Amino acid sequence: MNQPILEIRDLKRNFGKKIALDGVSLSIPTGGVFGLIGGNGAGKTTLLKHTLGLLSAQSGSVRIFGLDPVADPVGALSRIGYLSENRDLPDWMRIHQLISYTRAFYPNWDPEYAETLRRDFELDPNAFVKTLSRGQRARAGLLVALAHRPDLLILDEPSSGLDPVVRRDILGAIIRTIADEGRTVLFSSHLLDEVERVADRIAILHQGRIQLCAPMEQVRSGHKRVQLRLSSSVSHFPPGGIWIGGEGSRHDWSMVAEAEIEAIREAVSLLNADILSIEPMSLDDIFVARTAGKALVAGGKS
Amino acid sequence: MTRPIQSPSVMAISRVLFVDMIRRSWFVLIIGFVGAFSLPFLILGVLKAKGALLVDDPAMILIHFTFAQMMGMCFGASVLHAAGAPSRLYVLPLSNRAIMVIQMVPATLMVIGQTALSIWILNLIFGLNWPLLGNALAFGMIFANFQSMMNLFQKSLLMLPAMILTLTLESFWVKSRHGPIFSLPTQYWTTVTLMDWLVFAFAMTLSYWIGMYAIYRSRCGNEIQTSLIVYLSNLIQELFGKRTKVFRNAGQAQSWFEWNLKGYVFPVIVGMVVPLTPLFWLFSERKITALLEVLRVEGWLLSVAGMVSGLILGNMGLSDASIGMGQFLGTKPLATVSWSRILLRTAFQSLSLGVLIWAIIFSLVLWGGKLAGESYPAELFPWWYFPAIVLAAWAAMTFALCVSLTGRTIHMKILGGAYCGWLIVFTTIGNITSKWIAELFYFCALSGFGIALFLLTIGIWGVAFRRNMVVLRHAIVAGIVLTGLIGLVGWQFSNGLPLPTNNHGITPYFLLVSGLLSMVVFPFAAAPLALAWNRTR
Amino acid sequence: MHIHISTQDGVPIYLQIVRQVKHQIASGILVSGQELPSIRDLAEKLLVNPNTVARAYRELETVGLVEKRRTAGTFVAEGLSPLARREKLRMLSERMDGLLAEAHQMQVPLSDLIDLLNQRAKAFPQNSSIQNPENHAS
Repeated sequence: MNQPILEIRDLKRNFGKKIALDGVSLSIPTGGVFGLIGGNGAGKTTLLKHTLGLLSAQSGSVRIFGLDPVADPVGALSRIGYLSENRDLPDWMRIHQLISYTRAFYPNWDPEYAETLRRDFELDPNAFVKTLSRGQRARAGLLVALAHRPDLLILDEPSSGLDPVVRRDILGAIIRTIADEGRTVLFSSHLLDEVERVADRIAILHQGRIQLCAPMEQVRSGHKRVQLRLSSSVSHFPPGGIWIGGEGSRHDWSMVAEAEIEAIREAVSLLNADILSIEPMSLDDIFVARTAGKALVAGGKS
Repeated sequence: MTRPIQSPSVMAISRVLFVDMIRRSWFVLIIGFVGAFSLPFLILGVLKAKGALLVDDPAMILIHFTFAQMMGMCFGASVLHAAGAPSRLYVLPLSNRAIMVIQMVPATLMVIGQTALSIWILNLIFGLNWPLLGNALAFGMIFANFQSMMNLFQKSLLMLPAMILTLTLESFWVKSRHGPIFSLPTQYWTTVTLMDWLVFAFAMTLSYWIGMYAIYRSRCGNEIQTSLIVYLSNLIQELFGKRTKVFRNAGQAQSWFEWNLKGYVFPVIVGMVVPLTPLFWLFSERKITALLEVLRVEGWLLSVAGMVSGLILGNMGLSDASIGMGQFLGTKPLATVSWSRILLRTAFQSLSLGVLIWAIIFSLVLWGGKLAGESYPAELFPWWYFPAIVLAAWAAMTFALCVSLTGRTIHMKILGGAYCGWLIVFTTIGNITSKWIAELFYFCALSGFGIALFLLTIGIWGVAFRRNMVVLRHAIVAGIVLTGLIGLVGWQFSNGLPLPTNNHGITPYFLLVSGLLSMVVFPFAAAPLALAWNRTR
Repeated sequence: MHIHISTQDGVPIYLQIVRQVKHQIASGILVSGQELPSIRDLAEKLLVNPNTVARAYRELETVGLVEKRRTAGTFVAEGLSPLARREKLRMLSERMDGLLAEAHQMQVPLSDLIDLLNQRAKAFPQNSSIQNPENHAS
């Protein structure tokens, strides 16, 4: 239980001149939900492809279940359930064919569970995959990823482009998966309210680097929005220290800090300012503050 | 043909969609081109080497006619697939007429252009003077008719009789421009007369109106449907659709996948061409020896069909636009080596079925002829003929399989270009340089090519061995098989060269054939390597 | 048991669950001895991580509002009346703190505030059935 299920060390990857991953190190514990968040083009899909053996590490190492997924695809992949971002499924198959085809690859396949899922998701066994709507396609992909009760469920942007009903199915699937002992979910998303609901740990991937990797509660409680009133007007907020970002002008500033309340009070008193309020932040706001980050400037977002 | 387009926006959209068509379907277009070009090059090249390429010989007319048909069909089929359905244009702000024009005109021009260009290139390289215009326009016309009919009757059983009727009428007309309809072609279609232009115009206008009607009905979801076909398809679904296959293991499942998706291509190609050959023969001439000769050549042409099918078999991509392996297949827990074996087995099954079809037709004609009292010269079918065509088809199919299995778009395009370039150089060298340089070139090319293939095979086996994709046992078997084959060839050659007369001597041919034979064992090492290269980038 | 989770205002999810359960116990929606949904069921229903639900239940157990019976599940504690009253007062005083802070910011004196409270109390019986759903979360 204590062994990390996925261990990535100093992974680097570039496509031609574009650097996709710049020395990523990540250790994902067994059991629980791990949320990988980042903007579009941050490198999330590239990272996930490395874990599946679809990309080989140009430098650094990837170990999943202690195995190298490139060297031992069968050992690694037979314990992974994967839902890709573009719901890559063979259009020409019918649903029942898709199920019986996928079943043959996984010794742990549970046919009754597959049938339950099929009925819950309302998938017509005779329908061609080509004729499915987007939401139904996602459900079909989810079915074949879940039915063999994988030790690790990897979802790449599972909710993108889906209606709220299908999104609930996906979240429900994530929760049911980890409610079973010892199973793990790794999902990448930029729908942060979903990540907030289900993730135990999160990592922020920004411009190919891991900005932050911590338990969800720690991230949530660690970041606070502080409304200040300065005694003297400034055009630029003095950078550094506990302040990660924020905005404002002259006297009134709304800043984001990563610190305990005591440390915040101290820092504010050093600035000769008044605290108007200290509020918790949603994951959305935390993410924006951490990744939009440049120098703090007057008037605009930093 | 149609009137010129007035609206500039339609032109702009047309251009963009044309580029899009090429980008989406480059794979199919390349296959069509490669398939269409290889046939004439092969045959004309051999004839030329034999010294039998007499430009003014009346026998050339039949060859010209056949090639024109083959090329027209190949290009037509691939462009038909590439053009796609007009339904993707329905949401754009275009009138029905604009859609019709965008759908029909670029594709038709492409077919005409490709046909004319290929004949022109053949003329250039082999010093022929075959006419371009007649056949090119004719195939454009046939293509346009085919396309509009497909759009109109796509959901209806009427498609079959409509297509057959059109095809028959128009092919008879084309045949009639080459001489009497029910015998061998006797003339070239050198001048396109006013009557011809009128026929073209009429057929294109008919295409246009049929196509317009098709779009008119299908744009609002009101296609022509035969209720019978709907009823039948529901019935079939009821009876067979619900049956769930149970696969014992991953290998079985993947074999089913590969066969269902791609395995049928080779037998279908063979099945569409070979059984129809006696039919065409009946219309042109009725000597059995001629038919047998044609079937004999078709035996060799199985390699070309094999090459095309191999390219398709190795395509692990999601669509025609990308041949790299998609994530669905890439994440299946199936070892690369097992997978490559499944692919080779599918190729073998595919090949066997196609060869069987050919063999059946061939035997029927052979024994039918014997019963009718015909007698054949012994050298028509030497003992090595049948094994040779099977091995050649196998080598071609599996080599193409390995090429497209790599899933590397750029490499494939380069290879395709190199292949065409090589064909052109090989056949034109005699025209450009002096005789003795050409002789030297042929000597080096043939020997060098053979040696290169042999070394390539050894090299690939070495790499595969080092990466544990093959074991010593496999290598030993491969070595024995190859040695045996080369030994047989050497023995046969020493008894006399059953090949075109030449000044090169036996050696280059021996080296060439040995090299080609090594391609028989090449794929067993190359396929897993190619697949691994595709799967992990 | 109906609970509504919102991720918008930054309040931790487990805390939202704790507060709403407390509120429901305090207002009698949940009675003594009533069984709460299992951690897994509630997690699936709310679409939140089971650990979050587990933490909320632990918190409620710590303050004595619920008790975990080993094989049977989690139940509202017996004999809750004094606790319930204490909880009610505690919740109300939390709200009052918020009100006082706002008044202080707006610089409204305490006497005005008390007058306002009396005024609204007089008007209250007419409004008693109207419950603003937005208030449930906090």
